Amino acid sequence: MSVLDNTGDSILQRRFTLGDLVDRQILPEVCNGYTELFQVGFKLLDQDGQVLVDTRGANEEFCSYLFTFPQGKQLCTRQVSLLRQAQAAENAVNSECFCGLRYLILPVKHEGNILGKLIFGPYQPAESNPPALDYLGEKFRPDVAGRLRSAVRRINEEVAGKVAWHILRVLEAMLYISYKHVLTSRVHLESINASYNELQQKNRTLQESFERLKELDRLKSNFLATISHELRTPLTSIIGYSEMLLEGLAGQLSPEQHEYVSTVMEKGEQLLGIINSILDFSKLEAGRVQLKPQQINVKDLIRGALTTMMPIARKAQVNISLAMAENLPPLVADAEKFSQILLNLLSNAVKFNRPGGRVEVIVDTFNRQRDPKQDADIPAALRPVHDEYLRLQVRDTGIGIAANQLERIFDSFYQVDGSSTREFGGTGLGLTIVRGLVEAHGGTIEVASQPGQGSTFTVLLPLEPRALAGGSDGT
Amino acid sequence: MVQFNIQQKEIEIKIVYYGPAMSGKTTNLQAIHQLVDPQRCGRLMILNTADDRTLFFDLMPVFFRTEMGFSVKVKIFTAPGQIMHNSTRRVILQGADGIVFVADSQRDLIKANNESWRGMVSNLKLNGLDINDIPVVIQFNKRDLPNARSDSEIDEVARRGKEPVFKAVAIKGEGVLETLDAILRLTWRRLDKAIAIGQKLRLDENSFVDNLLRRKSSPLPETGR
Repeated sequence: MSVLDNTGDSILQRRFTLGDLVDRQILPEVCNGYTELFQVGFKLLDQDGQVLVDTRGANEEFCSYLFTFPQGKQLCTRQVSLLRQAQAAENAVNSECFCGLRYLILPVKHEGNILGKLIFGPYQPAESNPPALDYLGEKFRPDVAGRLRSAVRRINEEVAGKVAWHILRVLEAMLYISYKHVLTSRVHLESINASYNELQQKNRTLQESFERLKELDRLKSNFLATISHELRTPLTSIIGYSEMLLEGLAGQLSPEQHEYVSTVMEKGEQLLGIINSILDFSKLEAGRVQLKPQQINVKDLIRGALTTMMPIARKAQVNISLAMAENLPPLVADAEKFSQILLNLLSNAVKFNRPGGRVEVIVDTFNRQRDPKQDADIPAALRPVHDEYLRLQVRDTGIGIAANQLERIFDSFYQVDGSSTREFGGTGLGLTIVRGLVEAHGGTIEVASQPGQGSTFTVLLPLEPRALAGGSDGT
Repeated sequence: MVQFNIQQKEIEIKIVYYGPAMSGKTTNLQAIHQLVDPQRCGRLMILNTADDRTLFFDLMPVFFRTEMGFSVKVKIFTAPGQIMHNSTRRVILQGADGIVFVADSQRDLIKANNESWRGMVSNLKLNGLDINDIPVVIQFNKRDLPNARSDSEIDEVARRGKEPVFKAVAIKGEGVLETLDAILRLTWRRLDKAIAIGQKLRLDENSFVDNLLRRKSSPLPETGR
């Protein structure tokens, strides 16, 4: 159909003409069927007067006879042009020919607009007597005219009206089906086109970022490899040789020598820990921490972390207990980082405890009021009220943290008391790393503490972190 | 975008019903079709899959002729809700003059409402339209379901936002015409401001809305779910 050629504007806003909507093969078939049935011809014209359908009724011979007379020809031509020019009105309009035959003109409507007209006829109205046509000339023979006229279908006005409206309704239904067909096929095409363009664009962007990331990844790997190698290799020797000395492989050490070498080895291991922490930290700082989000088994990971911590806790004479809610929902997170968060918190809780102290690990879910700023782009009425989190609490009975220090404990390299670095060891990076990892998961970490009684660290990890889970409204 | 043809004496306005899957956009249209005078609305075109999900869109025109002989037509479209039909949603949103966002009142579908809204904003943007320039009303449909958020909750969230909020049970025709009435008025006001439509058509807001939404005179037949 011609409408498909016009690709410029949106199909949904196009104004259709009658010609756009008729199926020029099927429509004449249907119309001819009606003409055969009722023996009345009809025409379908668009608003410009173009004829789209024209079926011939049983009036042909009668009209041809009248057309042989000069005045008949003139009157007939005038009637035809009158019909063509007649504007279709909301209701049916009658038009009577000089010969007494009659036409009905009906509007063809689509969505309230008149797209054309249906001219039904001519037929012989059953109610009225034919007019005398002797004025057509001496050669006019009323008996011949009467015989030919009798072949024209006689219908009373009411029936003619009903038949014409029926045909009109069928026509309008056919127009509607065409309209539906044109609209849907075109919307389908436009949708496919839109999807295709979108995918092309995304592919290009992905390809570009992939290339860029490959390059960055190569640089990063080089850097990390260099750092690891340059710093750790000599350290490994320092630790290894110290260990060999301590084991007496180079001969028995005096108690004093043993103590010095022990210190060298211990500090070496500490340094190795620091280097590892700094590597973790630098990744976090650069936003380069790479999460491998997956559905993780929280229970197993927590039990694993506790098992790891047990020997250290036993040595420090700290008792660790676990309270885990039944039916924990699945959590999407990076398993390794999750364990690291827990291990760091546990090791702090043990380290800053005192002999005979306790560490409690409590795991459950938590609903938190959502920050409205997070949804500034949607109307207030549609904003979600709550977010669901996995809550991980580590509670200790250690030395606690003073209120004015609470803010700073997550700062890098910070420990509450400068001297405590020596007393308790560590880089002061542990909590910074924990916070970085938690935030990378879209979560938060908070601390509450009573100096002298202990501290509680509370980690909230969103059950379905947006950045990790991905997926939105298809765009 | 409104199609205004002064020579043909025609104006055509486009309203789009948008919202998450299964929130009742098609049901809104069906209810309107049931309630409005058949002289004023055309056929309801529904393009469904076998399981009654909208495949492409639904379409229903509402129209009347002014005393000056102007043909005023509002075409109401619904966008398909299912996630996979995003590009169709974008095509349907082209040139929208007003939007009804049909949200689902069910408590567990807040997120689906949000995602749909975000998708709509991004689709509008891709069509060169700005959500802040288009009249929008929000309808919370399915008020009759047991897990629907409470009236006071909806009232509370409605107070917080600038978009007019309506409660509806589209399946029973409740709140449906009120929603349409509101978006027609907002759209009229915007078009009047932008292209002085009232002056051109010699029509005011009330006649515009009342003429389009003239109710059926006969009693309503029962609607089934």
